[in-house]
Amino acid sequence: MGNETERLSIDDETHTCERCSLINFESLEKTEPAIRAYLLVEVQDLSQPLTDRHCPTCQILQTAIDVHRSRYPSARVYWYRTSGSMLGLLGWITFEYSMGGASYLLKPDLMVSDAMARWPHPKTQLASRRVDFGQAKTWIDACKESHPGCTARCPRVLESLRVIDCVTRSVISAPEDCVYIALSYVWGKSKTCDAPNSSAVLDQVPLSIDNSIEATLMLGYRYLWVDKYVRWSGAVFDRLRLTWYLVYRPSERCRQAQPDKPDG
Amino acid sequence: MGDIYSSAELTLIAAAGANSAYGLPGIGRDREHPGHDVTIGRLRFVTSYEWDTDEIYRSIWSSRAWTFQEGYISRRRLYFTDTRLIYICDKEVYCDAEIGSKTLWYDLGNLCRSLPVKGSWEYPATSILEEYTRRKLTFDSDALNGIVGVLNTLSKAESPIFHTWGVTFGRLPYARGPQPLAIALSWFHDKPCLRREAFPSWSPLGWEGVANFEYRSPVISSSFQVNVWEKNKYIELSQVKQDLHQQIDAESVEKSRYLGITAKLSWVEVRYFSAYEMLSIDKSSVVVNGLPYLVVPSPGFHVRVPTGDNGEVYASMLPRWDSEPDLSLGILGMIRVPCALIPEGGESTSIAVMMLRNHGTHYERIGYFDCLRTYARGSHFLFKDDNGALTVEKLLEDVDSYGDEEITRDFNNPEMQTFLLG
Repeated sequence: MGNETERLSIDDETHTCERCSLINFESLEKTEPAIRAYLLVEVQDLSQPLTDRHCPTCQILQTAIDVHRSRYPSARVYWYRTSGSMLGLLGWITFEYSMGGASYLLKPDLMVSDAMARWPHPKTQLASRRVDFGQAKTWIDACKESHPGCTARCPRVLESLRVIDCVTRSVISAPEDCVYIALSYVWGKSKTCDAPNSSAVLDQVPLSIDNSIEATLMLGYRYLWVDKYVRWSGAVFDRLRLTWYLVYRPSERCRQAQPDKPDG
Repeated sequence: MGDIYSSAELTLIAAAGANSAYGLPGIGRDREHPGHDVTIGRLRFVTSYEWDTDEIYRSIWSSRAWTFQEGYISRRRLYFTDTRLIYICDKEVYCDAEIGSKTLWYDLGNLCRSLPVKGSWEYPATSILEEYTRRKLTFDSDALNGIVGVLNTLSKAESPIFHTWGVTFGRLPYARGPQPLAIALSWFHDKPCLRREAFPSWSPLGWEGVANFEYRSPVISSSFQVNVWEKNKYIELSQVKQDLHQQIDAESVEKSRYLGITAKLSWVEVRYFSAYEMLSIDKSSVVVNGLPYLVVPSPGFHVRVPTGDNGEVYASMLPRWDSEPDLSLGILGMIRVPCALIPEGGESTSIAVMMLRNHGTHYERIGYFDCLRTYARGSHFLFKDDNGALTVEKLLEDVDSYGDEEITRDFNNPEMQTFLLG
């Protein structure tokens, strides 16, 4: 479903439910921000959907409720008008819930901004469908230029480190002074997760690792370290005086011992 | 493992999906837009999180114990989430989607517990354990290995913090005068949980529950001393100059499971109150602000301490149990549980009570509560026990100080003793 179909108008009476049609958005919009105005919606039983799915107002409130309903059985929904001009941000929807006699506020789940005046809103910038690596590179470059503290912590060369050469897609011994990217991920119950022979070319790897190889190249790097692909090179770590248990996730050891068990 | 992440130029973090077949959003799959983007009249509504980083915090990647270390130790982190790309180094944060206000490094929400945030030592050291114990560990035996790389980074700091079995200790740098030595034994569980027998009971790693820490940690003083095993003998905590987990041989590891504690040792009466008993307690004499007292005290295993002059009135408190005591050994549903009284904080008079189980050669902890905090929390009441008929006498008022006099009165004349805590 594209954005166009979601951008329903409040004037379309066939879509706005009876309760929500009473909400005076216009007056809230015109409220002097200096006055802390809010729209209050009482929701007594969060386990029940607000109303039919055709009402856009109910839908957006429901989105916010969904986040918290497992934790809080009932709440009041406020729409706070932002005081002062925060670049067109008109306020946020927040929840007040009660527990043990005390009231608590939950911070925003829905931001409300002035759509027409600043469209697209400068502070409501959604990410594109595909990653823009050019932008990511500018972040890394800015960090390299101005944050000496963020430079790699370990000055020594990690001897005999094994990495994936993303150009040739093979597992190799890292060259001297190897600049590499590391991957942190959850293995989960992925099927294509067999570790390759040490020198094998990686043709069938899980999608996350395949994407990481692409990301490494797109960011202008060549070498990628992925734990699963260095596990047979244990001897090299002795030279780093790291104990075995620090190098490997012990769960990996267990899996080696029980090859038939499904991934946990 | 730690060195590999800290030496990397950058760490890619797959903070989306449940497994490695999911791919990185924005490369292997399209990124999603937030749940709602609706325009009503002149207003636009966009779903957002409390913090941009909440999506990372709620990911499966963030729910696993092992990934805590990988993210924490990395210098530059590039998180791939379903809706955005977030870059976090040790100084700055960038995001390719901005909904609402820009995310700042010092306002990363819950995620900051998984990042090396600077601050007073107690806070980062204890918040590391809080965050780590929240996460899911596939194998109990990994409990220490999954955190040791992070704890190692603390021992290299200017005010070094060492640890033994994950319990951190070090000098409090902000204190005036001689810097007191504190040890983070001041944690508790919200509810009883399972024991990890391979780890000591005094470490949060010795239990499967989420550890919460009191703001202050116990401080070494004349009334509370801790000795730890190093190489071949017990030494005072203040003599320790390195992380104790580096003891490689099996015997030293085994010995290091026991702390030699010198503290006031005593016992408390523990009694189980059922929900029915709590409802039927006569509270008619209690009036708060001119109104009858309607709160029903929580049922459970209460600690019952004598209070007042004549010993007829008891204070009853619901402590934080790691493991509930076995009342079948007691008479009339009441047992005596050994406890150690541990002063918390520097000059404060706050006393923590560590409840113990006797294992013959040593004790293990089974519960913990802070006298001041427990008194103030309202989970307590004073009652008269007249042949089994309970009458709530009055509510225990908030206590400003809790010193030797109160301890002697409430905890049956405790005596300084040295014992092993395993």
